[in-house]
Amino acid sequence: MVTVRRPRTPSTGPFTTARGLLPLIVVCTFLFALPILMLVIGAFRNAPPGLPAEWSFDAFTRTYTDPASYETLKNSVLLSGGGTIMATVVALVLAFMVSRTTTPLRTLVTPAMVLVVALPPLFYAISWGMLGNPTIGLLNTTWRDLTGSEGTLFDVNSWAGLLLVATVKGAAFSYLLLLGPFRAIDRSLEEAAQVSGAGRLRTLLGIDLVVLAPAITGVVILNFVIGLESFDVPLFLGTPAGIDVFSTQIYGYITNSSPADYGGASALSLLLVVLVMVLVVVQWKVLGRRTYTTVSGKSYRTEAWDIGAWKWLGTAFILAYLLVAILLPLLQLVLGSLQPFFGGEGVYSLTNYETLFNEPATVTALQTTLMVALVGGLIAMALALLIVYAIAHNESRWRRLLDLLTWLPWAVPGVVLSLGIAWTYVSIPGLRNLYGSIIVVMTGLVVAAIPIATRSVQPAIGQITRELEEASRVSGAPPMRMFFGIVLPLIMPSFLAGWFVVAIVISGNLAIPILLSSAQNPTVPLLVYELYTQGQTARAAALFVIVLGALLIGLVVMGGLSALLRRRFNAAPDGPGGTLPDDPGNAPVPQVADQPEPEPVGSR
Amino acid sequence: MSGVRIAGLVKEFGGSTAVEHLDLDIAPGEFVTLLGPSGCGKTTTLRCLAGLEVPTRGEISIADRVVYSDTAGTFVPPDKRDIGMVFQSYGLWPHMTVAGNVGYPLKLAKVAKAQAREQVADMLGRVGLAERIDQMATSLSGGQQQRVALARAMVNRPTLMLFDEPLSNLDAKLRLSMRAQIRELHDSLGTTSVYVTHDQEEAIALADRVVVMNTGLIEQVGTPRELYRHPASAFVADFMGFQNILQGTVGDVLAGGYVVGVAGTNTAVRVAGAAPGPVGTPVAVAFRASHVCVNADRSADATRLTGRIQASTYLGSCMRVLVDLGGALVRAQVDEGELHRFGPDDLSPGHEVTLSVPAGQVVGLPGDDGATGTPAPRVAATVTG
Repeated sequence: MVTVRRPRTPSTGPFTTARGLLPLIVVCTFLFALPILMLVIGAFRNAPPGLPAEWSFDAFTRTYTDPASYETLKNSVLLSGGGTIMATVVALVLAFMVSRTTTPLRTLVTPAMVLVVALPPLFYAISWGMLGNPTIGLLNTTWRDLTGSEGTLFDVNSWAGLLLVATVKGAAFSYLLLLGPFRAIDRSLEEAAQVSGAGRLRTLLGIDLVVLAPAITGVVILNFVIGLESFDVPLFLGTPAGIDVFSTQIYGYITNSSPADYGGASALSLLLVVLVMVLVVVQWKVLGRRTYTTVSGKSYRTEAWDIGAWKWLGTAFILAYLLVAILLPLLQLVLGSLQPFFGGEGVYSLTNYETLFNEPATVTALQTTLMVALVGGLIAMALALLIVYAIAHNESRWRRLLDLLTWLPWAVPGVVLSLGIAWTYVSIPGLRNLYGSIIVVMTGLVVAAIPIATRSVQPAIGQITRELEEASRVSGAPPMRMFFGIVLPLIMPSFLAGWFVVAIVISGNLAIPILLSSAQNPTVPLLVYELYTQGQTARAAALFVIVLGALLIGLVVMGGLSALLRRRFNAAPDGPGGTLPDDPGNAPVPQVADQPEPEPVGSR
Repeated sequence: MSGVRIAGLVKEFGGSTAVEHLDLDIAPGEFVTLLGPSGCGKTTTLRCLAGLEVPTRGEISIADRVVYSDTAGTFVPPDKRDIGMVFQSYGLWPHMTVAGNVGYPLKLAKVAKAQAREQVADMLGRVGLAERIDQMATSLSGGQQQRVALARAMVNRPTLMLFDEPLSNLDAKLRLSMRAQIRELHDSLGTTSVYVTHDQEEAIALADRVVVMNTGLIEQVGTPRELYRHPASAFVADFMGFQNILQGTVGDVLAGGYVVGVAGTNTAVRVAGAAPGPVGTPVAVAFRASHVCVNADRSADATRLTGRIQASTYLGSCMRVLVDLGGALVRAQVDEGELHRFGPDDLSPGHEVTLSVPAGQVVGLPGDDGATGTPAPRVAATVTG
């Protein structure tokens, strides 16, 4: 018997072997898993990060016997549960009206929803915080002017306010996820029900809702998870009313107690992480590991249902939503930013903007944020691209590990992530010098953006058929040359779009910098929060308007760029797959994705 | 000097075996097709040749250079194998023009720009796409795209050309002209070509030699005519379009031939050539429907088979008749020009007919020993070209 020496498996391309995957697994473990591991270790230590400590259950006993913790748990569940139910109902009504009826103004809904999803949660926190301010908010002053009464119509710093804003944001998210399944319902199912004698309403409730049940369940769980992880809105609107949820309580443990109670914060974080992970696993079971359902290619005959006079009620509903979700907050933010003092008498002026631009700290923060958004966004996209590409090409079983690792940041709320990163950088000797630097903030922002970045490159990579890569290898291209010469150019439009989206998400993120930024390098969201809590509301609004303005400029640049790219890619008048005389008509041409599906952006 | 040498090639995916054992020598300049049903391992073999899959065991050399050897630990990546490959779905890069696609291998080989331009123009001229040079590659029609892919694969004069079912996405008419073009380019450029297909007509029309594969093993290797006339197994016969394959045993050995008793019937078929064994040896006979002569008169004759028509289908050019010999079914064919020999009802179901098959058109095959219903045992052939 001759023993054959087993040489190591040769690699046919980048990331195909376990060996090729190793560096990526190391990086991802460091970025995604280490913070959580450090958090767990930290929860069992009886001293703040960086100090000598002993193992102890102290933090756990303290946190888990404190009734306040269960109050927080109750609040979190109530807020995200209530918000999810209302958001799903609103989303279902809107999705139904848009996809199945002739309701006037229905075409406005989808673009509006994309906008609502894209606007950072911070936008809603600050604008609704101003709008529903009991004494000087636009809503209440207008009410008083109109009725002459002295009362308050609506105080946003309350359960009602929290739920309203959660519903508005969640509805947009659910709507975009439900519209696809709604459109994809096989009409023959409905016709069969109607032929069998079911009325239209009965068909809607008995057939459509049942068919949609899996999709709705998935969206409900997803929304619930996002609700549990939400930070900005509860911080702005809940804290003043004394309503604490998980994320704000964790933050409170660190900022409101002296010395900061890192152990308590970590112990509470673990409860939240476990809760979220259970939900994520349940959601995988329901949705099959997809976080969104795409519209299927098959199109059915669309016959819009004329719902008679009800359609005017529908229009009113759409208008009310647009008012609450976009028009009023924007109006309040811009008006507020033009007042020298929020709610004070006086002429509208640009004083706030002048002050902001004359303050070196603000200008630095704007520059820092722009830099972090662009560089961090690029890093997140590059990392996401490598991860997605590697998972698609690797043939070893290690790719499952990588796949699992990338789902970690999704299941960890921003505050918890930044807490874990704080533990990591303070506890590990070599990394300690970096603590408080912008690099640490950027690391956190990159990790937080990975789920969105991954989802924006996934469809593009999926659309590149393996033959395109193989043709390049056979033509004489080494692996790297193939990646940069073929793969990268092909996904460039999606990559740029994803980069832009990720940059928006990063520039609006408050949860990461609030724990990781030092006073020397705040990002804009942190500055907005500080101004707001210091009572400089008008100036905070002005700062946020500047951010929105920058986004608008970015959007225009992006639009121009993608139009340019599209022209380069699809120069042919017919475009790919055009039918020419001798075309059998089934040429499987890889389509370069113009634009990914509306992504669940800024969902936290 | 050899074009390609494959020795003891084995490829396993996880638990399943795609190529069980394969030995094949291909001469320089030879055109070989790998023919077989899907899942037979032909594409895996091709991808191992290209270096797109790493074999599990064995040795592969291209133009006397070892590109894979498990014992020596050699693996030459695809980009260093000096090959050209044409894919099923063309594999053209949508972000490049026709010239960009075709010129890519030259760019990677660092051919001087002026010379590369000349070579691209020359190659596109050969495939008849000279005027499309500046169009985006994927804006062309399917047939044109495949010709661009062909030009791209051949532009740098590779020592070995690989084709992975390149015509299966094209319509029938286009397939014929592309087929001719592929063979013509092969001949004029003098490359060695390996071509994978599941279409026997394509394999026969293109190749110098056809390799028929089944479940990861070679069934038979031979020239198209050898395979068409003398399939070595029931599997190959079936693949080569023998509509009738009947199991039986050697009934009698005669001078220059033998008689096979068809199992389950009391009829016998004469076969030319040496008998595979003494009387009683299991054997199968194969013959084409077009070689069966149908007669309406029932003159009994030792060389004739008697049966009852079970179904008949008029196809325009001929009439297809399914005849029940009382235990075995035979497919026969009567050309349109011959139909006048029969009465109006002679070929309708229920009527008795006699059939005769010239002994020279009947192929004797290794018989089924009755244990299984699957085709005859396979030959793991080692063939030198």
